[in-house]
Amino acid sequence: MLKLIFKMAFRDFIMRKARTILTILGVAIGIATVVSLVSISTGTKAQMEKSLAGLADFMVSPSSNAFGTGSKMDYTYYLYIRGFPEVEAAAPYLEGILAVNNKLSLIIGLDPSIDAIHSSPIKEGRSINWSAKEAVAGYAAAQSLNLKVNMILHISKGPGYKGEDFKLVSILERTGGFIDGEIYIPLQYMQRIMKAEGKINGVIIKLKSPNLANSFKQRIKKNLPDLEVFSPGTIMENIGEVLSLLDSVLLAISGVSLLVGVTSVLSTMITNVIEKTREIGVMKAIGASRRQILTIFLFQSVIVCLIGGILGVFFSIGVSPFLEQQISLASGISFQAVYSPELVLGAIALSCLLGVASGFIPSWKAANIQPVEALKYE
Amino acid sequence: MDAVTLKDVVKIYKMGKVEVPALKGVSFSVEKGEMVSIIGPSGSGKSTLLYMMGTLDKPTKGEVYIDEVEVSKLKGNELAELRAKKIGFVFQFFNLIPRMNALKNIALPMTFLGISKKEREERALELLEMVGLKDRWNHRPSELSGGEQQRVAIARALANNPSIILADEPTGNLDTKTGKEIIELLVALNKEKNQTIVIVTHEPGIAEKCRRIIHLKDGLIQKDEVKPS
Ligand SMILES: Nc1ncnc2c1ncn2[C@@H]1O[C@H](COP(=O)(O)OP(=O)(O)OP(=O)(O)O)[C@@H](O)[C@H]1O
Ligand SMILES: [Mg+2]
Repeated sequence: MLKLIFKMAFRDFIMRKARTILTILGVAIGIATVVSLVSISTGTKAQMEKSLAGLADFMVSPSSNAFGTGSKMDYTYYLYIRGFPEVEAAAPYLEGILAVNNKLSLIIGLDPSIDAIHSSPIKEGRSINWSAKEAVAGYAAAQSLNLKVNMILHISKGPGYKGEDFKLVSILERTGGFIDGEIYIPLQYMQRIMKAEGKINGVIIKLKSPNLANSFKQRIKKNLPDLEVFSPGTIMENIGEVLSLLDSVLLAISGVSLLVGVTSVLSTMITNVIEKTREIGVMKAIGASRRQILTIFLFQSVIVCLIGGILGVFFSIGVSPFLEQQISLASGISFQAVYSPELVLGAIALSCLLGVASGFIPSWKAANIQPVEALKYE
Repeated sequence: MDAVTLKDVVKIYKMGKVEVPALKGVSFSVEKGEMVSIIGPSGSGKSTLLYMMGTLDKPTKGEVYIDEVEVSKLKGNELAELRAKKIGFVFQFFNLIPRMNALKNIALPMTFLGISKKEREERALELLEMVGLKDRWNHRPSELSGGEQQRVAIARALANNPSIILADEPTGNLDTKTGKEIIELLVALNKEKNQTIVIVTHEPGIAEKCRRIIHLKDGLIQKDEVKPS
């Protein structure tokens, strides 16, 4: 019986090739969309976690300025905060999107105090001399701008502006974090280029102990109410919010594309059942039970969806290098989509489920066809 | 023993508010080994009657017994099994499954009963030989003539050794000569294998081939005629 069901279902494929192929494509596109979206979302999360792993520090900057480039504060705040009893080390920074050899890139001005907080592994070159006009490039920044050690970087406020020349002394190892996409120069020159002498965006802080976080926050709140403390936790929360928003958008898109898949299977199955009304009537007349008819049709729709699903997974994996490239270009972070075995198996399970869901009503209709009516049906 | 018994069967089709009485109270039995024809003008209720006997439709009133089991008492899956085991249908338009070859078509009722492939194919080949189409086993219905298709349909009807064969105008779509051959085949089945057969027809020439002729008119039995043998 099982084999017969297989054969009947397959025979129908061949007979209705074109329609079946279109349906399979419909399902494949739906599943591919879902798989791609999930792989991107997983990739983004993995990326964020990796980035934040290296960011075990607190940041203090003017309120409403979580990630930098906005409002500035006086350098003297840094000197003040550095003296707080909870603080082990502090480093001022000023960042901006500037032109590097006429291409826009994220530049951060730092000073030697950063060495007490972060040590970035050098891939090539030597460490920066903070008093010279030297620069360090993150892995991805070096790649996208095609930078080589010892190159001279002309950094200016924008293409066309008069800027200053820096010697690239090192390229950093790939970390997977934000620093990959950045170029560092000494803070004093950064301030000069940005025309922000005596200004910084914020201070990176290393506390003596993570337990002091609350007392540090209280102290900032009391003494410097204009400033806000961003802990890795709050950053995580912010990102979490963004990601959950992203997830609900992805969910909506997935829902729509799956709906398209379901609709195409549903309409194909309904057409199939209508076309076969007479045949179904004959089969029932010669002894097929309702369950057997139901199984034949359900099996057919599950097979169509399963093939579509497998194809969809391959589609998605096939286009992922392109998507990764586009996202990397757009975000400036070297992005990688994540295809976990769970995702692949889940997609295949989902496509089976899709087959059952969209095939059930037509199959149920088929199973309940009245033989007498069907035999009169032309 | 009776293969089929009908007791006061009434069938009324409802079409909106209009009621169409197709059978108005029909009672008779078909004994095992009998060959019966049901004859009557178009619209007299012949097909309706045959479908009742084949459990494809339920009477509005009255009872139908197959091998002395009252069919209205059976559940859906039991009814399907009963149809697979005890009834063999032959239709005017053959109604073979177009995508299956002759062998598969004949084996189909056996698959519904879960009979093994080997057994199915052996039996199907046997039946193909019986209807004289052994060498055509791999041909699809579209590659067979009407007469040949009807032979395959008869073989399919015999697949599970049914108690009764029900044929609705089995020659209605065939020329006279081929029709005669099909009837001859059915007569031979009845004579040689003692197969119970009911044939619906409106051609007296075909009814004549059966010892017993039931005349139907306006949903009632007008005459139940048994020729002396
Ligand atoms: N599904 C139905 N709905 C309504 N009326 C029906 C239905 N099926 C049959 N009838 C009516 O019941 C009556 C008997 O029909 P049936 O098909 O049994 O006749 P028949 O003797 O087989 O005729 P024919 O020789 O033309 O095949 C007819 O009047 C027909 O119109
Ligand atoms: Mg009829």
